Amino acid sequence: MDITSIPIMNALKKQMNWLNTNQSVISQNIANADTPGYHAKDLQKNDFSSLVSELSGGQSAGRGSVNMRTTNARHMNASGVAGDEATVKKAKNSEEALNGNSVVLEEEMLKLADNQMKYGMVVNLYKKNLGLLKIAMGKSGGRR
Amino acid sequence: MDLEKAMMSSAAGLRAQSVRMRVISENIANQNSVASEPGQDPYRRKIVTFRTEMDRANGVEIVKADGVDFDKKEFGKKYDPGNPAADTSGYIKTANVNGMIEMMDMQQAQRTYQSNLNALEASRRMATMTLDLLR
Repeated sequence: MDITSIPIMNALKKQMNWLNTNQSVISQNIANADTPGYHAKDLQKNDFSSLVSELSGGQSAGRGSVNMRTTNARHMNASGVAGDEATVKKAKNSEEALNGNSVVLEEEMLKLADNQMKYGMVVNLYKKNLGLLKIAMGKSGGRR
Repeated sequence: MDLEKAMMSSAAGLRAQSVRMRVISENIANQNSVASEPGQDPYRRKIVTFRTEMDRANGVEIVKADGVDFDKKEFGKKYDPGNPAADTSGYIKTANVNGMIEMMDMQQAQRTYQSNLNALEASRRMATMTLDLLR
């Protein structure tokens, strides 16, 4: 059994992946804070709400919605986008300096702190869930 | 891995800013350098420009110092007839460096360097957190 076949583990894995990519986008923005003509980039937010509704729907009244089955990372889902891909776009409505650079350093630092906080949260959730599995495995599994 | 890429672009940022810092120091150190003979030019201010570049080996966009250019601004003039570099009317050319501008430039370089360092530290901490999952 793959551990990511547990829905919450899968969701956490996806979120971790997204936060990782977001970190590299923010780092790039900061590194290019003084490059003329550089436009700040932004990672599109993943829509995790569909995942949540799927989870809660599955609990109470069977499958609430019908989803196309994707068994490969390159399969497309019903909305036409491939599974885990997050897209990087130019950040909107940020001020631009005279040299055509649109990175606001303070904003990037804020995003950086936010990203790190969220990552800490996800990692802790992952740990807790692993702990739950260990408890389910019994005394020897739970305590090490 | 994405965190590795994040650290790479932060490191490239650090390197680019330190090149800029070096050139600023050169400018400040040479702001009083004048020629030794009449007709010769004094120290000319240098400028660093940055550019984004795709590092194909690692698949990550990094920033690079795009080379050092010369400032085309006019040299200053100072009346100093005793100077060996003085022309027939007693003037010498002074370097086109403004100490205040260099100081501001230095502040900015410092600020960006610090931000890059913070980003690097954050990426490192995230990687450590992930590794801690093994424990």
